[in-house]
Amino acid sequence: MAETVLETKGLSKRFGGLLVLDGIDFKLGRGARHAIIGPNGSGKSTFVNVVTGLLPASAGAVSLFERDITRATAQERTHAGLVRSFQINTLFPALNPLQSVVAALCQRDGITGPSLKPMIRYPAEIEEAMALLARYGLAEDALTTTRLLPYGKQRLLEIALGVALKPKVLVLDEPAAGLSTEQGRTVFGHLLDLPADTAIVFIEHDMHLVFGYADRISVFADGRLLAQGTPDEVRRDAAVKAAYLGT
Amino acid sequence: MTEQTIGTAAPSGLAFFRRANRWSAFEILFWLVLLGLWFVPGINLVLLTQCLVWGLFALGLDVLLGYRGIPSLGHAAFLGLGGYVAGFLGKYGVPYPLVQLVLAGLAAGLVGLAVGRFLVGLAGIGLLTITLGLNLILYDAVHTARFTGGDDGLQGIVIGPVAGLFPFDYSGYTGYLYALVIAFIIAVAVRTLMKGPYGLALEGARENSRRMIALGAPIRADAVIALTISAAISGVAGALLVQTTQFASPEIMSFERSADVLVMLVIGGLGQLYGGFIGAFLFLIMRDYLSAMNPIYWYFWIGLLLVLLMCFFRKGILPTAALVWRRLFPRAGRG
Repeated sequence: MAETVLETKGLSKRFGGLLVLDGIDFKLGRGARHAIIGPNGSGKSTFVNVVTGLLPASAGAVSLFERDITRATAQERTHAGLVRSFQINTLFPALNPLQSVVAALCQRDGITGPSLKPMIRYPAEIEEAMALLARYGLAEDALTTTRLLPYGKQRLLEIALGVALKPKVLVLDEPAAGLSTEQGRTVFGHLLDLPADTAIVFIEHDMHLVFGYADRISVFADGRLLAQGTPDEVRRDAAVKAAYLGT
Repeated sequence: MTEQTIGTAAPSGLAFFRRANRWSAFEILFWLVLLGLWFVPGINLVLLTQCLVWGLFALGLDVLLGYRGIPSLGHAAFLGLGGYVAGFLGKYGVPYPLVQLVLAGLAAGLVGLAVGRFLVGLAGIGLLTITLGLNLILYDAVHTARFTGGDDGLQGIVIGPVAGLFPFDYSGYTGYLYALVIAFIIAVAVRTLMKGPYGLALEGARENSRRMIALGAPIRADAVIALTISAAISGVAGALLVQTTQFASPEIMSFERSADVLVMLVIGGLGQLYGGFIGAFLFLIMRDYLSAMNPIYWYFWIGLLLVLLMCFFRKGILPTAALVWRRLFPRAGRG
């Protein structure tokens, strides 16, 4: 396996008396396309939330490029190159896609804090935003208020906002959630276009997408890592068959 | 925050931001009308000065509530703070209006910065309760203290001529123009700030703070800055109020003032820059007219008008008017 970019050791998360994540040891290789699968309630989303800093870990450690980030804020992790998208669209309803992506690019490029320079003085960010929206088939909708966009296009914008930051590690929580098979393929097609050294972790339920796009799979069950390996290894794993694939 | 759907051709991103930055006919007309009012013979400039000052105060609240989405029920505290700073300066040998204005803004801004660090971690009802509580504490402190003159207000405030040239008069000629110039300068500054990346970051955090965090945005620091700016503008408005009325009493920071400014901003429209001014003019002129017509029952009419207004202008006057305008003239404003 290639150089490890993201690693968790004994990562656990407890909500009161409920142990949702139980000692997860996880390694993500540089440029990997790594799928996380598992039944509902197996801890996949919690894992993503703890890794990206939305929730604090109860025990264990997370490291990014061999630097410990267990206690880093979500913002610090983003600046270190660890970027996520959400299972439920987490967009700016009253802003349009252009404003949304430009807001993301300003954060990435450190253009923050009060300034008397109007947005038009940042043409590089504006043009990059339009180019990105065009790649995602959203050019014509760039000025349409996000709230008014059809769900499929909102889903594409959800992914585009993460990609805009040029992440080194991109964590996608069910990128194809709620999409038709065709739309799901479109989303994953865009992900294949990302630079080869960008590591991608994605939670996905659609097994066609998982086995079509992943080069490595982790299977979660009851907050534990049930199995981990290449798609072929996972497909043959007896425990996975029994617990999840049902065949 | 305009809501529009563009046809099939891919639009230009640069043109969108250039258009957003350009002064619209409405904006130019707005300031020209305010300037023109000064020339109308026999007009009640004292009342109109109040409208301008309250409009500026509402603009201060708009930075926090309209653009960033953080509510406050205690903003009169900053108004009163600025007012008393100007009053004390006037009483103890600093009668220069512009100096008072700057120091009042600074003082209120610093207090905003200090409380902001605690406040922005809270949200919703809790925040409303705490801002209200802080407002009440300050009100009672000023109300009871001896050095503030207590209930009777601060006596012996001296306000010199503006820039050493234009003394304040009872008909409000100086006061109106002075308030208009200050309001214009601050509105332009806020406009510039909100059309830039900081304004976009505030709106992003208002729309979805979780996403802004995931984008790496320092949303807490941004919110504290917004509260500081908001408090400073409110402090300047308070100083203007004391200067143009030559009087400071605890009433200036009573809870009713906090509620009034919130109502003005909401009826005018949130996050539109001009909503506070429109709301202030409407609210204060209506109140003046109704209380003259019926000194006992005017609260009934003002309440009724507020209810009707919000029924027909759901998001406030400005956003609804803009929506109707775009429906009537779909090509207008595209540039």
